[in-house]
Amino acid sequence: MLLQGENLTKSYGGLMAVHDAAFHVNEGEILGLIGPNGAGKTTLFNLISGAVEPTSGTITFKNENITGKKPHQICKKGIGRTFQSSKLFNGMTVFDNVFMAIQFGQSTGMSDKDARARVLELLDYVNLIHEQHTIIRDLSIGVQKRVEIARSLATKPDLLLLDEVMAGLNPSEVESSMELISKIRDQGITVFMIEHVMKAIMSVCDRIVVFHNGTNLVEGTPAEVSSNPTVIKVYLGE
Amino acid sequence: MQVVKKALQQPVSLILFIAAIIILAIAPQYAKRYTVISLITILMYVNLTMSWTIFSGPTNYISLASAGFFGVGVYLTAVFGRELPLYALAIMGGGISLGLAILIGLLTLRLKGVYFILFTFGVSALLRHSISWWEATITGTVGRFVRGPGNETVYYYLLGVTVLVFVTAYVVRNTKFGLALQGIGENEEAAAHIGINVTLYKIAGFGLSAIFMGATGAIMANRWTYIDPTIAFNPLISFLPVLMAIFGGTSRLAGPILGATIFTLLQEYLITSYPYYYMLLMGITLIVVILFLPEGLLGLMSRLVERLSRIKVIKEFIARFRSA
Amino acid sequence: MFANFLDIVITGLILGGIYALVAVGLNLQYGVGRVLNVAHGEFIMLGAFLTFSLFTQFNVNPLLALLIIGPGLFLIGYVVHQILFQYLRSTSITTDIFSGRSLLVSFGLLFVTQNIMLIVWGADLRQYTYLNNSISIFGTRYAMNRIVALIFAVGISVGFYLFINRSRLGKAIRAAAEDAEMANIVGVNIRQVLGICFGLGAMLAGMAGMLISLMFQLQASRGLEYTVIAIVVVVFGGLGSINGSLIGGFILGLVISFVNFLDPSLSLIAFYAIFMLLLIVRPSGILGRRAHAGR
Repeated sequence: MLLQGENLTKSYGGLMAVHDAAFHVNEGEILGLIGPNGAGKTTLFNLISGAVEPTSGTITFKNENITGKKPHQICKKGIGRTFQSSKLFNGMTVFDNVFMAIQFGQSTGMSDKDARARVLELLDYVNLIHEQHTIIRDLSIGVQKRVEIARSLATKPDLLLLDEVMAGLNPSEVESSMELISKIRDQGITVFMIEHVMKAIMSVCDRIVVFHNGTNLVEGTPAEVSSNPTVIKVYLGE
Repeated sequence: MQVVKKALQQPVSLILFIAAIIILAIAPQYAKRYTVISLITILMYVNLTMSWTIFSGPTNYISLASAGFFGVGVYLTAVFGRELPLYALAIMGGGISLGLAILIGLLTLRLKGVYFILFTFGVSALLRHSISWWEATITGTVGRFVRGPGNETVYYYLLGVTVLVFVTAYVVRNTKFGLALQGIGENEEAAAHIGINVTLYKIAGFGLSAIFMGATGAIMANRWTYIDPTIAFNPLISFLPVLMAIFGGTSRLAGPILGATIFTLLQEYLITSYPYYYMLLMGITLIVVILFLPEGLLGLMSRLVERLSRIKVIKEFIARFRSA
Repeated sequence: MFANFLDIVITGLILGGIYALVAVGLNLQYGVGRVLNVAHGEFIMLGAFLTFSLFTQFNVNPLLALLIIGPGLFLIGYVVHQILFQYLRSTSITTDIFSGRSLLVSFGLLFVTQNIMLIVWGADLRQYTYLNNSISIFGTRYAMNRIVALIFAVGISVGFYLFINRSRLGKAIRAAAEDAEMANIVGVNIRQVLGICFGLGAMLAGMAGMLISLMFQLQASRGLEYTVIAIVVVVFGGLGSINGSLIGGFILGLVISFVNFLDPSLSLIAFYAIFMLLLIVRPSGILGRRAHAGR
């Protein structure tokens, strides 16, 4: 197991965003996380990436306890992530956004020349070389999400957390996103993704975890999950 | 180091810098007494504004604690001016300000935006009122007298600090440190997630900006013979560097220097020429600058340069100059 | 003993009323318009000085002067907003940039307004006496003007509270103050509301100024003191919460009155210490929404 979470709880005042949740991610798989709005999925990601500290519970990554560590530490351990509403350096260019990630995200330093070459490599990977000098603010949301993916890859993660990368994309963009995610996994990076676009999740994921009311409900292959009566009730009853 | 290499790659700027230092260094020998006093005031504001910009420029954390850091240095000299030499006071002033900055930094880790601004404002005010109370109730003094070295010494000490601030600002801006601060200013959460230790950089940056304010304060105290907490922790010292930095523009190193110099000269001119209206005129100038020159003087200058270079005659001249 | 206590309470309520009005005014300008108006105190002093002149030059009863000063300051605030801040808003890319720039513009406004007051009224302390006679309550004598100030301070505050919580316009303003984006979506004409809110803020400042002129000495440079008080009360009550500012103003007014009685030199220290502690522990204030903190 690459990543494991046990008895995770996060409460805000009296509100339990995540409650006694457990999950595990196997090396090399693409794990999907689905559930109705407000189920606590993004909060779970926030707990993993260190953006937020759990009220109780543990998170283990590569057999090391990473509970409560700060985001920059977790990044250096090998977990990268994207955000539901992309968090980029809005006043800087696409190139600089990815460049920053290489400068700070990789534990071993790289020469300036090599770093710049690497940025172009990553931008090519997500098909954004032609936009390298554009300021983030002037880009559409779909393109911004691709920049975020390139940026998160720049920190050489072993595990990539993707938070709704396909939200707001048209069908052909969804297709290319799915291809990109498979490509990333084939490179040796494990993927844990939150998604609402069912078609994408069902076809690209090896396993799926269903979240509801802050905790995990059901787990299994896409086929198992999509035919599970509890899951159907949870989604239809919404 | 890489930074040194970078500096050497800009020979024109480097030469200008060294020339400016030399001119400023010999100025007191040839200039009138009044000019030296003006220069002292300008250097003081240049130090404060440049220091302020080191942290608040890239991170957009507007700090109003400058009066606190400056005042700490001033008061240090007011209390120990007779016992300690000036260089010791300057170093101590810097050191105590650094400590204060680290303390504030640790307390305000979770504060952003307007809350951070208000807290730093509170620090300066709290220091002023607390020391007032202490002096009134415990030590029983009302104001302290400073009898220190003359204007020339003050001038050279200030110039020394100016050089230090400039070099520090340059190094920060052209290394990973400055890049990190910029990232924090653009999007703090993103910065944290790509491996930037946000807490460390924020506190280090804030501390760095405070050191030179404290040193400047310790030196400037010698210009005023009478010091009390209201003078030492004057709120204007918190606001003016902010205005000057915005006035000059924060995109390049020269911005704060330009802003501080011109603003100070403008202020002196207005106070002496229009004593009854100078606040009105300053206010209008400020409003006009903020409304129509959002990038400050630097923005204005770069736009002028752009306009000029578009004029056909100049374009041809440059082309001919290049091919020659 | 009881007389002392009552005295402190009355002073506390008068101060509280002034603080409440001043804070609500600033809150309207910042909460809705995101303008941190450091010139707020200048509008307060303007209201105070205008009352002074109306009384000393034209023999206008200060309480009636309210009818001139209220609308007058509202107009000034509205016009200033539509000319200066609206332009700034349209040329600022993000709200944070707008907040920073409007802070600096309001600085310019501070310089301009204070200079105008210095020119017209001079730098000396000014004061007028109105209703200086005293009346007797429960065997102790109280100055009439203090009683009147008390009635007006509480009256205006209560009136405004009812307006904000019961009237349609008031509720729209309150909604806009708590969440400007939502209000915009719901169809409130945001440009008008912003201008009106700024105007209302200036109006309340002017009214507070009139109350101050009844009780205290006036000086053109005293504006910033009141701005700071307003800021502290706003944070205490919660940025964006009008009710918070109303209640917070009275609470802080009473607290200051008590601390002043015990040891006047400590009151300012206590004031700032509470303020900073609040920012660290609970920046959203007593009634503010948690989500506001850190924006």
